[in-house]
Amino acid sequence: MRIYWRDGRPMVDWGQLGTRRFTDPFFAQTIHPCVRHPADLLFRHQTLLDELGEIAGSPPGLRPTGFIFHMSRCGSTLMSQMLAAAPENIVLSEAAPMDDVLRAHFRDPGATEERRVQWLQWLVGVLARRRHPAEKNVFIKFDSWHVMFLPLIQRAFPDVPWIFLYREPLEVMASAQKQLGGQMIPGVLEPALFGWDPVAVGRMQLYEYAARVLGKLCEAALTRAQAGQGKLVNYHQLPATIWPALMKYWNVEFSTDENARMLNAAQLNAKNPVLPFEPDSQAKRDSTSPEMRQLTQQWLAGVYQQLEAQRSVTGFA
Amino acid sequence: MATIDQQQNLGRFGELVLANRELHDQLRATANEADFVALAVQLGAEHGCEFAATVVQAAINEKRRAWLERWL
Repeated sequence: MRIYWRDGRPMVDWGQLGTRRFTDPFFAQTIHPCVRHPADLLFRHQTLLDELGEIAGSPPGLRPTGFIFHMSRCGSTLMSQMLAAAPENIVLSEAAPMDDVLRAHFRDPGATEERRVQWLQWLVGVLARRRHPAEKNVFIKFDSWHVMFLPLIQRAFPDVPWIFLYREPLEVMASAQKQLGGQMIPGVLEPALFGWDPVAVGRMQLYEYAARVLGKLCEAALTRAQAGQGKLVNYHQLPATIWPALMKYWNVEFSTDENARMLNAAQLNAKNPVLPFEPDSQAKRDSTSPEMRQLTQQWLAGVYQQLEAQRSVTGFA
Repeated sequence: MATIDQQQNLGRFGELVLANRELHDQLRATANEADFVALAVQLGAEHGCEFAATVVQAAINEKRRAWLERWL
């Protein structure tokens, strides 16, 4: 599925998923094979996004079980891959159609918050359909910047428990130094998303921008957590120590076998599951340049301390 | 026949394919892109929708570009 605009109107481009489960690290990796054959690429149904409501209701999708927000490079893919290891779970990991809907107002003045709330509900209704008998839970891992849309997402799904994953910021910056994520590159996301004007963004150095984006994501989660919402989870709590409390928070129970299957998935590299997982926190901290240390101190250390303080009050024991 | 007419014919054929699972399965059974293009031209003509192989190939390229553009 893809969302695009034709003649100023939002459209849905459909693909045949068949029996394929969302077990890849990212939504896109599951979707791409659906258009590999030219017959599937060329002949696909196109509908108006506004027609999605009728489609979403028949049959209705499963109600979301839990949401995962994160600052990026902090174990969120590990968590989504663990969840995807259990056949009971539908795991939508950074699904681009959700990003299209959440950021639609930047390209379409008609995409009011009201409409985006509705579109998001419909979209999840379609993507969270049960296609295998075992499926009964739906977990959504959002893109990192979607934490900026938390109020809108909560309007769409007020009762869904969410977590925000974060990590010692120097380790995240080390990861950014190695390879910048799209959200850390100026111009990829709209400056207004962070309350900035484009001129100010143009004056920021590359890694300064990355640090400030990460800081904004953490601040957005912190604000909601301080209001008593959601749960904060530090990377170092993953996975085994936090797992039972997290599943209780999401109100799900798994058999011993399924729990073992999910915890086994944590032994693999989440983004490239053919490789084993290797702890890299110390190596990451050691690899950072003085510039990264300074930027981390300036833009991230404070909010990280606040997240940790808040987690000690309202996080998992 | 003008290219635009052929493109319209391909569009009409596409609607037939989406409404006819058997037709889609036939096209889906082709082993490679060249075979798919040849069969699409043949089945199109059989259903009163004439278009050239180059029109099908151009449409595939355009769809592929649009798809990839979104994900880059």
